[in-house]
Amino acid sequence: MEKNIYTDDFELMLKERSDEFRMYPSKRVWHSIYNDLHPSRKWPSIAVSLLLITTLIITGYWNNNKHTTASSTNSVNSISALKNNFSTKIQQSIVKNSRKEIEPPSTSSTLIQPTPATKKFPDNETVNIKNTTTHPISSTDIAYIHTTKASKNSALHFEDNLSIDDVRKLQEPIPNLKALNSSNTVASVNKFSSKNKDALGNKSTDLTIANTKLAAENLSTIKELSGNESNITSLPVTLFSTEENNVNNINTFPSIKSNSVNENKKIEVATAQSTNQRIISIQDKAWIDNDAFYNKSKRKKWKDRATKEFYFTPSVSFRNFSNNSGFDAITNGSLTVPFSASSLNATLHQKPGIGFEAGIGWAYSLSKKLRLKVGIQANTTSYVIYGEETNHPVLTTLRLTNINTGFPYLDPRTATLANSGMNTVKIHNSTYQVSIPLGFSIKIAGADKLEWYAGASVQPTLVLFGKANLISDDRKNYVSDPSLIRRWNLNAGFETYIHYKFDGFTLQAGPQFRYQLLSTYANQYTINENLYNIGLKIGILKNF
Amino acid sequence: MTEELLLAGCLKNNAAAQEALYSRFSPRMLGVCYRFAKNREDAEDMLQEGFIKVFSQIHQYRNEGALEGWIRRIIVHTSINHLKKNKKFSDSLDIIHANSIHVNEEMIPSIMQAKQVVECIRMLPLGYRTVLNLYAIEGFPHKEIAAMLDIEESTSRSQYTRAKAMLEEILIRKKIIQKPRERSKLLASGTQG
Repeated sequence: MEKNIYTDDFELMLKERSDEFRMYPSKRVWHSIYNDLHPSRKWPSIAVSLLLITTLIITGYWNNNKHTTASSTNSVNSISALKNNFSTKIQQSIVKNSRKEIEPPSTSSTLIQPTPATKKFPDNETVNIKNTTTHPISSTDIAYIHTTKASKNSALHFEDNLSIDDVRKLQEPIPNLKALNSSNTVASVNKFSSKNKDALGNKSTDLTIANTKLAAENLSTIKELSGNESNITSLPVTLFSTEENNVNNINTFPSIKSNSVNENKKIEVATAQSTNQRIISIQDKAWIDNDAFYNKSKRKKWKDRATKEFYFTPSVSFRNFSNNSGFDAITNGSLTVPFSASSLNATLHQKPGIGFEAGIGWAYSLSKKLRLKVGIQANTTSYVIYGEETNHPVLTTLRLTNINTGFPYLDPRTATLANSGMNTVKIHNSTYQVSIPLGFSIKIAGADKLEWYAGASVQPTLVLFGKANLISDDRKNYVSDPSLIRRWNLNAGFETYIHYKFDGFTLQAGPQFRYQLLSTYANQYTINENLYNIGLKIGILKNF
Repeated sequence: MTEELLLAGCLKNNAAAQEALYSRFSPRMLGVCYRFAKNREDAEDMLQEGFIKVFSQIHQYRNEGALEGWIRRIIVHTSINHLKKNKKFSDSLDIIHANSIHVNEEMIPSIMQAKQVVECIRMLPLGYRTVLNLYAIEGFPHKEIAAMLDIEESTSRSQYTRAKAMLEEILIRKKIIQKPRERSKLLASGTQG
């Protein structure tokens, strides 16, 4: 009793405490309920949101454009003039034996194709760098430039197609070499440059002079443009560092420091302080990017584009008769006038049969819309003709063509099936084939999970075996002769299907039309029979 | 605003009336959902689904019993469907295996007793918690619980017995309730004294 009282009390306590308990939902719950109950009222808020977003975008774009336009107008003139001037001078002052162009890499994120560390450029070589990508130079590029293995006396020549931003980046002082090569520092680079000067002899002297002159010219140009001398300084230019058989080619360009702003001519360049700060961050980032770039595990590109598929196609088989060349109207006295094979289509009592196709395939995407396909599949075709069994074998003839002479003749055969008015017996003609479909498919529409494709293929086919009941010349009997089935055939397939992607797999479904291009039977038989199948192809695909 | 006015407004799909109804009942209903759900987010999802059903089926309310009771039934059914839809039941083994389940009692915060009790209920495994909520708190009979959860009636009864025992143990350890023996001793000493 006590236990029962306790049990009742316990449950009562649970109920009371639970009923006392309150929790206050967040606002998004009511908003979701409201939007569900009043969907039409969502539109004003959506419209207002869109308006706000558009306004923000326009404002941001306008501000950004205004800011860069005014500064870049003059900086374009000054910096491009500097660049042209400087690069021309460098080129002229260095003895060039050959030029080696570095082609941009296939990936858009880097300017220069990474080369193995041991690669070296020959002496006295100018390395032209051009940016043929649509992307600006990345920090990886800059890092790579600075760690490019180059021989002494080589220089990096920057083509005119570099963008203003690229030039600016390259004009920044070099990263701290400590991160790139622990044996080098900025101070030791200066030492190297001195050593190099001696090693280079006149060349270095010329270079130095040229650079010095150029720096001076740049300085005067900048001063002229900015109108304020006191704020302009320049840094030393190209430095070369050499090590024995292991050269790090370091380049820098004049970095112009200016804090002055002319009312009409505003030059925007990096200040030394901010540049130094950025140097550290770019340098660290470049080192990290570089390391990650060289050490990352690369997925084979082809795997991203390749898929394998498993499919099957239940279908209905039809056939169509026509005359072949052996049916020409060359007759002799013993042959009757040949009948039209096409009339057989109407006169024979026949019915489509069930066919089936199953196979595996591999597809490779050439582009986003075009895929090439190859596979291997097994096919069965069949159709039903109606006849009647004869009580005893009947002598009849087949109209065949002499392969050597090309003339038709009547080949005597025996038959046990008749094409009579009763036609109560079902006679199956069938083939069992193996094909190799080669084709392509094109994406018509769709995105994300659902896509629509159309495709075509040719299918060299090997007919393994089959049943052939051939109509006799007088159309009264069926003669069974599987040896007349053509061993090698060719089919064409046309299909359209929907792709649905889920969980790493793709489901494919759609109609398929398969047409047999060559006759089922060998050329000896004067009647051509072309089979065609209409079915529903269902498949499942998966990436490699 | 009286319930009748709220009801009339909701029948006309009046947004203000709907919001008022929601504001009146949502705190308690969220508490109901919270007892079933794994976390607050799930509870709010259940509440949202439940109230959408309430407003869309408001015309079916026949004034038989309190409006709150009617809403609560919808919320409970929605919560159960939500759990079943997210396969929480099929993945949960506690319908079959009871003894090996360990409850982490350290997570229960120290707060008002109502919340303490609810949090203790939420510490139970999903199957125990659901049966206990439906039988002891919502008052559904075992037959109906068995139909809702696709289990046998006997399973519902046995699960409830085990759930209650486990909850009792948790509440005693947390000193939210006293042990039955201590309670009877106190009663006895009070009688004798």
